[in-house]
Amino acid sequence: MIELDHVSRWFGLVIGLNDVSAHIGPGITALLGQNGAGKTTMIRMITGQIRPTTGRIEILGEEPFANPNVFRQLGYCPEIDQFYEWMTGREFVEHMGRLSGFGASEAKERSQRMLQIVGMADRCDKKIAGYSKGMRQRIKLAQAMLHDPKIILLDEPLNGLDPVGRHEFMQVVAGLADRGKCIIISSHILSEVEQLTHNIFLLHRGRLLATGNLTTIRNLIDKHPHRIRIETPEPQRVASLMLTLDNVLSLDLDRDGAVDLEVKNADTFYPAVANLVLEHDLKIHGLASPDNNLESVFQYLVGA
Amino acid sequence: MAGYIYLSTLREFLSPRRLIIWIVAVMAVAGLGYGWLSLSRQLGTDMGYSTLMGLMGFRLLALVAAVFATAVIAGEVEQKTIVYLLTRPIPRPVLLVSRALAAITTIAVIGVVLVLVVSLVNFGPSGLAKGMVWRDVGVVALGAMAYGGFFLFISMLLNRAFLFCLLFAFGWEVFVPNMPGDLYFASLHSHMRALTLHPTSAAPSPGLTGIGPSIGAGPTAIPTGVSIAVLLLVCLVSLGLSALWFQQSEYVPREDAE
Repeated sequence: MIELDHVSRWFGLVIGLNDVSAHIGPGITALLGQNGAGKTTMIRMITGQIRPTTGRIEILGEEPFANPNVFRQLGYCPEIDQFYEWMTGREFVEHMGRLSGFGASEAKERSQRMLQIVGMADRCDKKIAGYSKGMRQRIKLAQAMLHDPKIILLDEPLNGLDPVGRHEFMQVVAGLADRGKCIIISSHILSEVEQLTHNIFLLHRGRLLATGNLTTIRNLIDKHPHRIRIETPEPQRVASLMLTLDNVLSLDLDRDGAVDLEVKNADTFYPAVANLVLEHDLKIHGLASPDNNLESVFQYLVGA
Repeated sequence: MAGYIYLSTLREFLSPRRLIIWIVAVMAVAGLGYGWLSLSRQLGTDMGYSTLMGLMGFRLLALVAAVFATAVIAGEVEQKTIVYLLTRPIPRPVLLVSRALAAITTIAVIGVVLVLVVSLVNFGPSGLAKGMVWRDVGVVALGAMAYGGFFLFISMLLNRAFLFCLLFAFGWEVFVPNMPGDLYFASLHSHMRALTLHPTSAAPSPGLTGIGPSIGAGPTAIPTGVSIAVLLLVCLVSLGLSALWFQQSEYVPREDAE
Protein backbone atom coordinates (compact mmCIF):
# COMPACT_ATOMS: atom_id res chain seq x y z
CA MET A 1 0.00 0.00 0.00
CA ILE A 2 2.76 2.45 0.97
CA GLU A 3 6.19 2.46 -0.68
CA LEU A 4 9.09 4.64 0.33
CA ASP A 5 12.11 4.46 -1.94
CA HIS A 6 15.29 6.11 -0.61
CA VAL A 7 13.31 9.01 0.76
CA SER A 8 15.14 11.94 2.32
CA ARG A 9 13.84 15.27 3.48
CA TRP A 10 15.86 18.31 4.45
CA PHE A 11 14.62 21.38 6.29
CA GLY A 12 17.31 23.85 5.34
CA LEU A 13 20.48 22.41 6.86
CA VAL A 14 18.59 20.04 9.13
CA ILE A 15 17.77 16.56 7.92
CA GLY A 16 14.30 15.36 8.86
CA LEU A 17 14.41 11.97 7.20
CA ASN A 18 17.51 10.28 5.83
CA ASP A 19 17.40 7.74 3.00
CA VAL A 20 14.45 5.72 4.23
CA SER A 21 13.14 2.81 2.16
CA ALA A 22 10.20 0.79 3.35
CA HIS A 23 7.08 -1.08 2.32
CA ILE A 24 4.05 -0.85 4.57
CA GLY A 25 1.12 -3.16 3.98
CA PRO A 26 -2.23 -3.92 5.66
CA GLY A 27 -2.38 -4.28 9.43
CA ILE A 28 -0.99 -2.12 12.20
CA THR A 29 2.50 -0.72 11.89
CA ALA A 30 4.03 1.28 14.70
CA LEU A 31 6.37 4.12 13.90
CA LEU A 32 8.59 4.45 16.93
CA GLY A 33 11.11 7.11 17.69
CA GLN A 34 12.04 9.78 20.16
CA ASN A 35 10.91 13.36 19.67
CA GLY A 36 12.72 14.69 16.63
CA ALA A 37 13.36 11.23 15.17
CA GLY A 38 11.46 12.01 11.97
CA LYS A 39 8.12 10.30 12.64
CA THR A 40 6.00 13.35 11.92
CA THR A 41 8.08 14.21 8.86
CA MET A 42 7.52 10.71 7.51
CA ILE A 43 3.79 10.91 8.23
CA ARG A 44 3.51 14.33 6.60
CA MET A 45 5.17 12.99 3.48
CA ILE A 46 2.88 9.97 3.36
CA THR A 47 -0.14 12.26 3.85
CA GLY A 48 1.01 14.46 0.97
CA GLN A 49 1.57 17.60 2.99
CA ILE A 50 5.23 17.83 2.12
CA ARG A 51 7.39 16.36 -0.64
CA PRO A 52 10.56 14.35 -0.23
CA THR A 53 13.73 16.26 -1.12
CA THR A 54 15.04 13.11 -2.78
CA GLY A 55 13.52 9.67 -3.31
CA ARG A 56 10.00 8.65 -4.09
CA ILE A 57 6.83 7.90 -2.15
CA GLU A 58 3.87 6.03 -3.58
CA ILE A 59 0.54 5.49 -1.89
CA LEU A 60 -1.62 2.91 -3.67
CA GLY A 61 0.53 3.54 -6.75
CA GLU A 62 0.28 7.34 -6.76
CA GLU A 63 2.43 10.18 -5.48
CA PRO A 64 0.62 11.69 -2.51
CA PHE A 65 1.58 15.38 -2.58
CA ALA A 66 -1.61 17.45 -3.04
CA ASN A 67 -3.26 14.45 -4.68
CA PRO A 68 -7.04 14.20 -4.02
CA ASN A 69 -7.10 10.60 -5.35
CA VAL A 70 -4.78 9.57 -2.53
CA PHE A 71 -6.70 11.58 0.08
CA ARG A 72 -9.89 9.66 -0.77
CA GLN A 73 -8.16 6.53 0.55
CA LEU A 74 -6.32 8.11 3.41
CA GLY A 75 -7.41 9.15 6.89
CA TYR A 76 -5.16 11.28 9.03
CA CYS A 77 -5.27 12.00 12.74
CA PRO A 78 -2.69 14.75 13.21
CA GLU A 79 -0.61 15.33 16.30
CA ILE A 80 -1.63 18.97 16.52
CA ASP A 81 -4.31 19.92 19.01
CA GLN A 82 -5.83 22.72 16.95
CA PHE A 83 -9.48 22.79 15.88
CA TYR A 84 -12.15 25.21 14.83
CA GLU A 85 -12.83 25.84 18.47
CA TRP A 86 -16.19 27.54 17.90
CA MET A 87 -17.65 24.38 16.37
CA THR A 88 -19.15 21.50 18.31
CA GLY A 89 -17.53 18.11 17.92
CA ARG A 90 -20.45 16.97 15.77
CA GLU A 91 -20.24 20.04 13.53
CA PHE A 92 -16.50 19.54 13.09
CA VAL A 93 -16.79 15.89 12.10
CA GLU A 94 -19.73 16.66 9.76
CA HIS A 95 -17.72 19.51 8.23
CA MET A 96 -14.87 17.10 7.54
CA GLY A 97 -17.40 14.72 6.02
CA ARG A 98 -18.68 17.42 3.67
CA LEU A 99 -15.09 18.27 2.73
CA SER A 100 -14.60 14.60 1.94
CA GLY A 101 -17.30 14.93 -0.68
CA PHE A 102 -20.33 13.50 1.12
CA GLY A 103 -23.75 15.10 0.89
CA ALA A 104 -25.28 16.66 4.00
CA SER A 105 -27.35 13.65 5.03
CA GLU A 106 -24.59 11.11 4.44
CA ALA A 107 -22.03 13.25 6.29
CA LYS A 108 -24.46 13.51 9.19
CA GLU A 109 -25.14 9.79 9.26
CA ARG A 110 -21.45 8.84 9.04
CA SER A 111 -20.52 11.39 11.70
CA GLN A 112 -23.05 9.95 14.11
CA ARG A 113 -21.67 6.45 13.53
CA MET A 114 -18.05 7.53 14.01
CA LEU A 115 -18.87 9.55 17.11
CA GLN A 116 -20.49 6.47 18.60
CA ILE A 117 -17.46 4.34 17.76
CA VAL A 118 -15.06 6.76 19.48
CA GLY A 119 -17.38 7.15 22.46
CA MET A 120 -18.29 10.78 21.87
CA ALA A 121 -21.92 10.47 20.78
CA ASP A 122 -23.26 11.77 24.08
CA ARG A 123 -20.80 14.67 24.42
CA CYS A 124 -20.34 15.89 20.86
CA ASP A 125 -22.84 18.76 20.96
CA LYS A 126 -20.66 20.98 23.16
CA LYS A 127 -18.16 23.45 21.72
CA ILE A 128 -14.73 21.94 21.08
CA ALA A 129 -13.18 24.83 23.06
CA GLY A 130 -14.44 23.15 26.23
CA TYR A 131 -13.15 19.65 25.42
CA SER A 132 -10.50 17.79 27.38
CA LYS A 133 -7.41 16.47 25.61
CA GLY A 134 -8.90 12.99 25.50
CA MET A 135 -12.14 14.24 23.93
CA ARG A 136 -10.15 16.11 21.31
CA GLN A 137 -8.19 12.98 20.47
CA ARG A 138 -11.43 11.07 19.98
CA ILE A 139 -12.83 13.74 17.67
CA LYS A 140 -9.63 13.68 15.62
CA LEU A 141 -9.89 9.91 15.37
CA ALA A 142 -13.54 10.16 14.27
CA GLN A 143 -12.74 12.56 11.44
CA ALA A 144 -9.87 10.31 10.29
CA MET A 145 -12.13 7.26 9.98
CA LEU A 146 -15.17 9.07 8.63
CA HIS A 147 -14.69 8.33 4.94
CA ASP A 148 -13.74 4.67 5.50
CA PRO A 149 -10.21 5.05 4.11
CA LYS A 150 -7.92 2.14 3.27
CA ILE A 151 -4.98 3.79 5.02
CA ILE A 152 -5.18 5.51 8.41
CA LEU A 153 -2.28 7.45 9.90
CA LEU A 154 -2.42 8.26 13.58
CA ASP A 155 0.23 10.65 14.86
CA GLU A 156 0.71 10.16 18.61
CA PRO A 157 -2.98 9.25 19.01
CA LEU A 158 -2.73 8.01 22.59
CA ASN A 159 -1.53 11.33 23.98
CA GLY A 160 -3.97 12.57 26.56
CA LEU A 161 -6.18 9.49 26.61
CA ASP A 162 -7.01 8.02 30.00
CA PRO A 163 -6.60 4.24 30.55
CA VAL A 164 -10.23 3.54 29.64
CA GLY A 165 -9.89 5.72 26.55
CA ARG A 166 -6.70 3.93 25.55
CA HIS A 167 -8.34 0.57 25.90
CA GLU A 168 -11.33 1.68 23.81
CA PHE A 169 -9.04 3.27 21.25
CA MET A 170 -6.96 0.11 20.93
CA GLN A 171 -10.10 -1.93 20.39
CA VAL A 172 -11.22 0.43 17.62
CA VAL A 173 -7.82 0.29 15.93
CA ALA A 174 -7.63 -3.49 16.23
CA GLY A 175 -11.10 -3.72 14.67
CA LEU A 176 -10.00 -1.56 11.74
CA ALA A 177 -6.89 -3.69 11.23
CA ASP A 178 -9.04 -6.83 11.21
CA ARG A 179 -10.96 -5.28 8.31
CA GLY A 180 -7.77 -5.12 6.26
CA LYS A 181 -6.95 -1.45 6.78
CA CYS A 182 -3.38 -0.26 6.74
CA ILE A 183 -2.85 1.60 10.00
CA ILE A 184 0.27 3.50 10.95
CA ILE A 185 0.62 4.68 14.53
CA SER A 186 3.45 6.90 15.64
CA SER A 187 4.56 6.97 19.22
CA HIS A 188 7.61 7.54 21.37
CA ILE A 189 6.44 5.10 24.03
CA LEU A 190 7.35 1.51 23.32
CA SER A 191 4.99 -0.10 25.81
CA GLU A 192 2.12 1.91 24.38
CA VAL A 193 2.26 0.41 20.92
CA GLU A 194 3.49 -2.98 22.09
CA GLN A 195 -0.08 -3.83 23.03
CA LEU A 196 -1.29 -2.97 19.54
CA THR A 197 1.24 -4.48 17.20
CA HIS A 198 4.55 -6.26 16.99
CA ASN A 199 5.28 -4.79 13.57
CA ILE A 200 7.44 -1.76 14.13
CA PHE A 201 9.63 0.79 12.37
CA LEU A 202 12.28 2.32 14.59
CA LEU A 203 13.37 5.79 13.58
CA HIS A 204 16.36 7.53 15.11
CA ARG A 205 17.66 10.94 14.04
CA GLY A 206 15.93 10.65 10.69
CA ARG A 207 17.22 7.18 9.88
CA LEU A 208 15.27 3.95 9.83
CA LEU A 209 17.17 2.05 12.49
CA ALA A 210 15.28 -1.22 12.53
CA THR A 211 12.15 -2.70 11.04
CA GLY A 212 10.27 -5.88 11.66
CA ASN A 213 8.92 -7.78 14.60
CA LEU A 214 9.13 -6.24 18.04
CA THR A 215 10.07 -9.60 19.56
CA THR A 216 13.17 -9.75 17.38
CA ILE A 217 14.16 -6.30 18.53
CA ARG A 218 13.41 -7.21 22.13
CA ASN A 219 15.68 -10.26 21.78
CA LEU A 220 18.36 -8.04 20.32
CA ILE A 221 18.02 -5.81 23.35
CA ASP A 222 18.13 -8.78 25.71
CA LYS A 223 21.55 -9.75 24.42
CA HIS A 224 22.81 -6.60 26.09
CA PRO A 225 23.04 -6.09 29.86
CA HIS A 226 19.92 -4.59 31.34
CA ARG A 227 20.11 -2.15 34.26
CA ILE A 228 17.70 -2.62 37.16
CA ARG A 229 17.41 -0.65 40.38
CA ILE A 230 15.87 -2.17 43.52
CA GLU A 231 14.87 0.08 46.41
CA THR A 232 14.84 -1.76 49.70
CA PRO A 233 15.34 -1.14 53.45
CA GLU A 234 17.58 -4.24 53.60
CA PRO A 235 20.03 -3.76 50.72
CA GLN A 236 22.74 -6.14 51.90
CA ARG A 237 20.32 -9.04 52.31
CA VAL A 238 18.74 -8.35 48.94
CA ALA A 239 22.17 -8.05 47.30
CA SER A 240 23.36 -11.39 48.66
CA LEU A 241 20.23 -13.12 47.42
CA MET A 242 20.45 -11.49 44.00
CA LEU A 243 23.95 -12.84 43.56
CA THR A 244 22.49 -16.35 43.68
CA LEU A 245 20.75 -15.67 40.32
CA ASP A 246 22.55 -16.58 37.11
CA ASN A 247 21.19 -13.50 35.31
CA VAL A 248 23.08 -11.00 37.46
CA LEU A 249 26.27 -9.79 35.84
CA SER A 250 27.21 -7.05 38.32
CA LEU A 251 25.87 -5.49 41.46
CA ASP A 252 26.38 -2.17 43.20
CA LEU A 253 25.14 -1.00 46.58
CA ASP A 254 23.99 2.55 46.32
CA ARG A 255 24.58 5.12 49.09
CA ASP A 256 20.81 5.69 49.22
CA GLY A 257 20.28 2.09 50.17
CA ALA A 258 19.27 0.95 46.68
CA VAL A 259 20.76 -1.98 44.81
CA ASP A 260 21.81 -1.39 41.21
CA LEU A 261 22.11 -4.48 39.05
CA GLU A 262 23.22 -5.33 35.56
CA VAL A 263 21.43 -8.42 34.33
CA LYS A 264 21.20 -10.47 31.17
CA ASN A 265 17.96 -12.00 29.85
CA ALA A 266 15.73 -9.60 31.74
CA ASP A 267 12.63 -11.58 30.77
CA THR A 268 13.70 -14.49 33.00
CA PHE A 269 15.14 -12.26 35.69
CA TYR A 270 11.86 -10.66 36.76
CA PRO A 271 10.06 -13.96 37.58
CA ALA A 272 13.14 -15.11 39.47
CA VAL A 273 13.09 -11.95 41.61
CA ALA A 274 9.41 -12.50 42.32
CA ASN A 275 10.18 -16.00 43.58
CA LEU A 276 13.00 -14.74 45.81
CA VAL A 277 10.73 -12.11 47.33
CA LEU A 278 8.09 -14.70 48.16
CA GLU A 279 10.50 -17.35 49.44
CA HIS A 280 12.57 -15.03 51.64
CA ASP A 281 9.93 -12.45 52.51
CA LEU A 282 12.07 -9.63 51.15
CA LYS A 283 10.98 -6.04 51.67
CA ILE A 284 11.19 -4.24 48.35
CA HIS A 285 9.83 -0.74 47.99
CA GLY A 286 10.57 -0.27 44.33
CA LEU A 287 11.90 -2.03 41.26
CA ALA A 288 12.60 -0.05 38.14
CA SER A 289 14.64 -0.30 35.02
CA PRO A 290 15.97 2.86 33.42
CA ASP A 291 16.38 0.73 30.31
CA ASN A 292 12.67 0.15 29.82
CA ASN A 293 12.26 3.11 27.55
CA LEU A 294 12.77 3.82 23.91
CA GLU A 295 15.89 5.86 24.45
CA SER A 296 17.74 2.86 25.84
CA VAL A 297 16.53 0.76 22.93
CA PHE A 298 18.13 3.22 20.57
CA GLN A 299 21.28 3.29 22.65
CA TYR A 300 21.55 -0.46 22.42
CA LEU A 301 20.87 -0.51 18.70
CA VAL A 302 23.30 2.24 17.79
CA GLY A 303 25.85 0.87 20.22
CA ALA A 304 26.05 4.12 22.16
CA MET B 1 -17.80 20.61 -3.24
CA ALA B 2 -16.81 24.15 -4.28
CA GLY B 3 -20.29 25.36 -3.32
CA TYR B 4 -20.05 23.83 0.12
CA ILE B 5 -16.59 25.30 0.74
CA TYR B 6 -17.81 28.73 -0.41
CA LEU B 7 -20.91 28.67 1.77
CA SER B 8 -19.23 27.25 4.86
CA THR B 9 -16.42 29.82 4.60
CA LEU B 10 -18.93 32.60 4.04
CA ARG B 11 -20.87 31.46 7.10
CA GLU B 12 -17.65 31.56 9.11
CA PHE B 13 -16.61 35.00 7.82
CA LEU B 14 -20.07 36.47 8.33
CA SER B 15 -20.48 35.03 11.81
CA PRO B 16 -21.28 37.56 14.55
CA ARG B 17 -17.95 36.99 16.33
CA ARG B 18 -16.10 38.13 13.20
CA LEU B 19 -18.53 40.84 12.13
CA ILE B 20 -18.99 42.65 15.40
CA ILE B 21 -15.79 44.67 15.03
CA TRP B 22 -16.79 45.77 11.53
CA ILE B 23 -20.26 46.79 12.65
CA VAL B 24 -18.55 48.97 15.26
CA ALA B 25 -16.14 50.35 12.61
CA VAL B 26 -18.97 51.20 10.19
CA MET B 27 -20.88 52.91 12.99
CA ALA B 28 -17.74 54.84 13.94
CA VAL B 29 -17.31 56.04 10.35
CA ALA B 30 -20.97 57.02 10.25
CA GLY B 31 -20.68 58.84 13.56
CA LEU B 32 -17.54 60.65 12.49
CA GLY B 33 -19.20 61.58 9.22
CA TYR B 34 -22.22 62.94 11.00
CA GLY B 35 -20.08 65.01 13.33
CA TRP B 36 -17.89 66.30 10.55
CA LEU B 37 -20.85 67.22 8.36
CA SER B 38 -22.41 69.12 11.24
CA LEU B 39 -19.25 71.20 11.46
CA SER B 40 -18.82 71.65 7.68
CA ARG B 41 -22.28 72.49 6.42
CA GLN B 42 -20.84 74.80 3.72
CA LEU B 43 -19.49 71.74 1.88
CA GLY B 44 -22.95 70.48 1.01
CA THR B 45 -24.12 66.89 1.36
CA ASP B 46 -22.79 65.64 -1.99
CA MET B 47 -19.30 66.91 -1.31
CA GLY B 48 -19.48 65.74 2.28
CA TYR B 49 -20.45 62.23 1.17
CA SER B 50 -17.73 62.21 -1.46
CA THR B 51 -15.05 63.34 0.98
CA LEU B 52 -16.12 60.88 3.63
CA MET B 53 -16.08 57.97 1.19
CA GLY B 54 -12.65 58.97 -0.13
CA LEU B 55 -11.20 59.68 3.28
CA MET B 56 -12.63 56.75 5.21
CA GLY B 57 -14.93 54.54 3.16
CA PHE B 58 -12.43 53.22 0.63
CA ARG B 59 -9.70 53.05 3.29
CA LEU B 60 -11.91 50.94 5.53
CA LEU B 61 -12.62 48.70 2.55
CA ALA B 62 -8.88 48.10 2.14
CA LEU B 63 -8.57 47.29 5.84
CA VAL B 64 -11.48 44.84 5.68
CA ALA B 65 -9.90 43.26 2.61
CA ALA B 66 -6.56 42.86 4.40
CA VAL B 67 -8.25 41.07 7.30
CA PHE B 68 -10.41 38.67 5.29
CA ALA B 69 -8.02 37.97 2.41
CA THR B 70 -5.28 36.96 4.83
CA ALA B 71 -7.75 34.73 6.68
CA VAL B 72 -8.33 32.62 3.54
CA ILE B 73 -5.15 30.55 3.87
CA ALA B 74 -2.63 32.40 6.05
CA GLY B 75 -5.11 32.41 8.93
CA GLU B 76 -5.56 28.64 8.63
CA VAL B 77 -1.79 28.17 8.54
CA GLU B 78 -1.32 30.28 11.66
CA GLN B 79 -4.06 28.36 13.49
CA LYS B 80 -2.53 25.12 12.14
CA THR B 81 -6.01 23.98 11.05
CA ILE B 82 -4.77 24.01 7.43
CA VAL B 83 -3.83 20.35 7.89
CA TYR B 84 -7.51 19.36 7.96
CA LEU B 85 -8.13 21.12 4.65
CA LEU B 86 -5.03 19.86 2.85
CA THR B 87 -5.60 16.19 3.64
CA ARG B 88 -9.15 16.08 2.24
CA PRO B 89 -9.89 15.04 -1.35
CA ILE B 90 -10.27 18.59 -2.63
CA PRO B 91 -8.11 19.95 -5.46
CA ARG B 92 -6.13 22.77 -3.92
CA PRO B 93 -7.09 25.41 -6.52
CA VAL B 94 -10.79 24.66 -5.88
CA LEU B 95 -10.24 25.03 -2.15
CA LEU B 96 -8.40 28.31 -2.56
CA VAL B 97 -10.71 29.94 -5.09
CA SER B 98 -13.86 28.91 -3.18
CA ARG B 99 -12.54 30.38 0.05
CA ALA B 100 -11.26 33.48 -1.75
CA LEU B 101 -14.67 34.12 -3.30
CA ALA B 102 -16.23 33.85 0.15
CA ALA B 103 -13.72 36.41 1.45
CA ILE B 104 -14.41 38.75 -1.47
CA THR B 105 -18.16 38.42 -0.88
CA THR B 106 -17.66 39.29 2.79
CA ILE B 107 -15.50 42.31 1.94
CA ALA B 108 -18.10 43.47 -0.58
CA VAL B 109 -20.99 43.01 1.87
CA ILE B 110 -19.24 45.08 4.54
CA GLY B 111 -18.29 47.67 1.90
CA VAL B 112 -21.84 47.96 0.59
CA VAL B 113 -23.24 48.31 4.11
CA LEU B 114 -20.68 51.04 4.70
CA VAL B 115 -21.72 52.92 1.55
CA LEU B 116 -25.39 52.71 2.49
CA VAL B 117 -24.80 53.82 6.08
CA VAL B 118 -22.63 56.77 4.99
CA SER B 119 -25.24 57.77 2.41
CA LEU B 120 -27.99 57.58 5.05
CA VAL B 121 -25.97 59.78 7.39
CA ASN B 122 -25.38 62.33 4.61
CA PHE B 123 -28.58 62.31 2.65
CA GLY B 124 -31.09 60.55 4.85
CA PRO B 125 -33.44 58.05 3.16
CA SER B 126 -33.30 60.08 -0.08
CA GLY B 127 -29.71 58.88 -0.50
CA LEU B 128 -31.04 55.56 -1.78
CA ALA B 129 -32.38 57.39 -4.82
CA LYS B 130 -29.00 58.86 -5.74
CA GLY B 131 -27.11 57.39 -8.67
CA MET B 132 -23.82 58.35 -7.02
CA VAL B 133 -24.53 56.02 -4.10
CA TRP B 134 -25.49 53.03 -6.24
CA ARG B 135 -22.46 53.65 -8.41
CA ASP B 136 -20.36 53.47 -5.24
CA VAL B 137 -21.96 50.14 -4.41
CA GLY B 138 -20.62 48.82 -7.71
CA VAL B 139 -17.22 50.44 -7.16
CA VAL B 140 -16.98 48.89 -3.70
CA ALA B 141 -17.78 45.46 -5.15
CA LEU B 142 -15.04 45.88 -7.74
CA GLY B 143 -12.67 47.20 -5.08
CA ALA B 144 -13.46 44.18 -2.89
CA MET B 145 -12.48 41.89 -5.77
CA ALA B 146 -9.25 43.75 -6.53
CA TYR B 147 -8.11 44.24 -2.94
CA GLY B 148 -9.27 40.77 -1.94
CA GLY B 149 -7.43 39.06 -4.79
CA PHE B 150 -4.29 41.13 -4.43
CA PHE B 151 -4.03 40.73 -0.64
CA LEU B 152 -4.65 37.01 -0.99
CA PHE B 153 -1.69 36.79 -3.34
CA ILE B 154 0.47 38.75 -0.87
CA SER B 155 -0.59 36.33 1.86
CA MET B 156 0.51 33.42 -0.34
CA LEU B 157 3.96 34.87 -0.81
CA LEU B 158 4.85 36.44 2.51
CA ASN B 159 4.83 35.61 6.18
CA ARG B 160 3.15 38.26 8.33
CA ALA B 161 1.16 39.18 5.23
CA PHE B 162 -1.30 41.27 7.20
CA LEU B 163 1.39 43.85 7.97
CA PHE B 164 2.37 44.09 4.31
CA CYS B 165 -1.29 44.45 3.33
CA LEU B 166 -1.66 47.31 5.81
CA LEU B 167 1.47 48.94 4.42
CA PHE B 168 -0.01 48.70 0.95
CA ALA B 169 -3.43 49.97 2.04
CA PHE B 170 -2.22 52.89 4.13
CA GLY B 171 1.16 53.58 2.53
CA TRP B 172 1.13 52.84 -1.14
CA GLU B 173 -2.55 53.58 -1.62
CA VAL B 174 -2.30 56.94 0.15
CA PHE B 175 0.90 58.25 -1.38
CA VAL B 176 1.00 56.84 -4.91
CA PRO B 177 -2.20 58.61 -6.10
CA ASN B 178 -0.58 61.89 -5.03
CA MET B 179 2.71 61.27 -6.79
CA PRO B 180 3.57 63.33 -9.86
CA GLY B 181 3.10 62.00 -13.37
CA ASP B 182 1.13 58.88 -14.17
CA LEU B 183 2.09 56.94 -11.07
CA TYR B 184 -1.47 57.18 -9.76
CA PHE B 185 -2.32 54.56 -12.35
CA ALA B 186 -0.50 51.99 -10.20
CA SER B 187 -2.92 52.48 -7.32
CA LEU B 188 -6.14 50.52 -6.93
CA HIS B 189 -7.58 53.45 -5.02
CA SER B 190 -7.09 55.72 -8.05
CA HIS B 191 -9.08 53.36 -10.23
CA MET B 192 -11.86 53.15 -7.68
CA ARG B 193 -11.97 56.97 -7.43
CA ALA B 194 -12.02 57.23 -11.21
CA LEU B 195 -15.14 55.06 -11.31
CA THR B 196 -17.13 57.09 -8.81
CA LEU B 197 -19.48 59.91 -9.73
CA HIS B 198 -18.28 62.04 -6.86
CA PRO B 199 -18.24 65.80 -7.32
CA THR B 200 -14.80 67.40 -7.39
CA SER B 201 -14.08 70.52 -5.42
CA ALA B 202 -12.36 73.44 -7.08
CA ALA B 203 -10.58 74.20 -3.85
CA PRO B 204 -9.45 71.75 -1.23
CA SER B 205 -11.72 71.30 1.75
CA PRO B 206 -11.03 73.54 4.71
CA GLY B 207 -8.69 71.88 7.12
CA LEU B 208 -7.78 69.16 4.69
CA THR B 209 -5.35 70.97 2.44
CA GLY B 210 -2.41 69.01 1.19
CA ILE B 211 -4.13 65.64 1.13
CA GLY B 212 -5.19 66.31 -2.44
CA PRO B 213 -6.71 63.76 -4.72
CA SER B 214 -6.81 60.99 -2.19
CA ILE B 215 -9.80 62.60 -0.54
CA GLY B 216 -11.37 64.91 -3.00
CA ALA B 217 -10.71 65.24 -6.68
CA GLY B 218 -9.93 61.76 -7.95
CA PRO B 219 -7.84 60.85 -10.96
CA THR B 220 -10.74 61.36 -13.30
CA ALA B 221 -8.42 61.14 -16.29
CA ILE B 222 -8.61 57.34 -16.23
CA PRO B 223 -11.37 56.14 -18.55
CA THR B 224 -14.10 54.10 -16.82
CA GLY B 225 -13.52 51.04 -18.98
CA VAL B 226 -9.82 51.02 -18.22
CA SER B 227 -10.40 51.23 -14.48
CA ILE B 228 -12.95 48.41 -14.54
CA ALA B 229 -10.58 46.31 -16.63
CA VAL B 230 -7.64 47.02 -14.31
CA LEU B 231 -9.59 46.13 -11.15
CA LEU B 232 -10.95 42.94 -12.69
CA LEU B 233 -7.56 42.01 -14.09
CA VAL B 234 -5.83 42.52 -10.75
CA CYS B 235 -8.41 40.23 -9.15
CA LEU B 236 -8.23 37.51 -11.78
CA VAL B 237 -4.45 37.51 -12.17
CA SER B 238 -3.97 37.52 -8.38
CA LEU B 239 -6.40 34.62 -7.94
CA GLY B 240 -4.75 32.66 -10.74
CA LEU B 241 -1.24 33.18 -9.40
CA SER B 242 -2.40 32.40 -5.85
CA ALA B 243 -3.95 29.13 -7.04
CA LEU B 244 -0.74 28.17 -8.84
CA TRP B 245 1.35 29.03 -5.80
CA PHE B 246 -0.99 27.19 -3.43
CA GLN B 247 -0.90 24.06 -5.59
CA GLN B 248 2.89 23.88 -5.31
CA SER B 249 3.50 25.01 -1.75
CA GLU B 250 3.98 23.09 1.46
CA TYR B 251 2.22 24.30 4.57
CA VAL B 252 3.79 22.90 7.69
CA PRO B 253 4.03 24.66 11.02
CA ARG B 254 7.77 25.35 11.23
CA GLU B 255 8.09 24.63 14.93
CA ASP B 256 6.51 21.22 14.42
CA ALA B 257 8.90 20.11 11.70
CA GLU B 258 10.90 17.14 12.89
